[in-house]
Amino acid sequence: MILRYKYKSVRRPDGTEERTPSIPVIFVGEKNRQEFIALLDSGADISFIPKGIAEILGLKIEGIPITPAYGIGGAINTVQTKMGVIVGRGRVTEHFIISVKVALDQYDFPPILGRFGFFDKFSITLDESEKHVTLKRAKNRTGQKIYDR
Amino acid sequence: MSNYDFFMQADVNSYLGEWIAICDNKIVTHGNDVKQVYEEAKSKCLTQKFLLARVPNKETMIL
Repeated sequence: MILRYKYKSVRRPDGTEERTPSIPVIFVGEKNRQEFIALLDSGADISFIPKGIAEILGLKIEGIPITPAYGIGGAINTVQTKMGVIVGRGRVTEHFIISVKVALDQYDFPPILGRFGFFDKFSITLDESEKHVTLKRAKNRTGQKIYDR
Repeated sequence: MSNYDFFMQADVNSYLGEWIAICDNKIVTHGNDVKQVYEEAKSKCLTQKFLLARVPNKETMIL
């Protein structure tokens, strides 16, 4: 399976253009499943979501030890849990369970798909010159059809 | 058109830093609280599936 997604373009008030390597995914929790646009971040060790998304999905976050996660802006409190992820569409989908850190407090950011648990299931190319991202399932790579989204 | 296809062609520049919900080929609600946007989208989209996206901030994001 090969999936290709164009970068989404957003123009800021100062006229600069932001293009982000984002993909549509369905997150699956114990209570709900919901489609989100998630940001691919090869610099993130693991995937992250804000607490609000964990609550929408009904992920278990109570009673889990709080651990800090470090970024360039400092440390934030997180708990680590698991959730389902569905990538692709129609018959061309991949389903798996990933570990995810839930940022506590009021931090707000898009869902971030990081290396452990997500990138390690694919061969991912972030093509900055062509402004698209390609995901190849990390098995049976020969003769795979490319699905443009 | 899928919700994702609509998102890709939509002009979301008016929603910088906000969550948006998309169903039925339109942005049905937006705001700063993802749970509130989710609940509003559920009531507006009814049985239709909807897409939630957070539009990038005005500022550059460094993770």
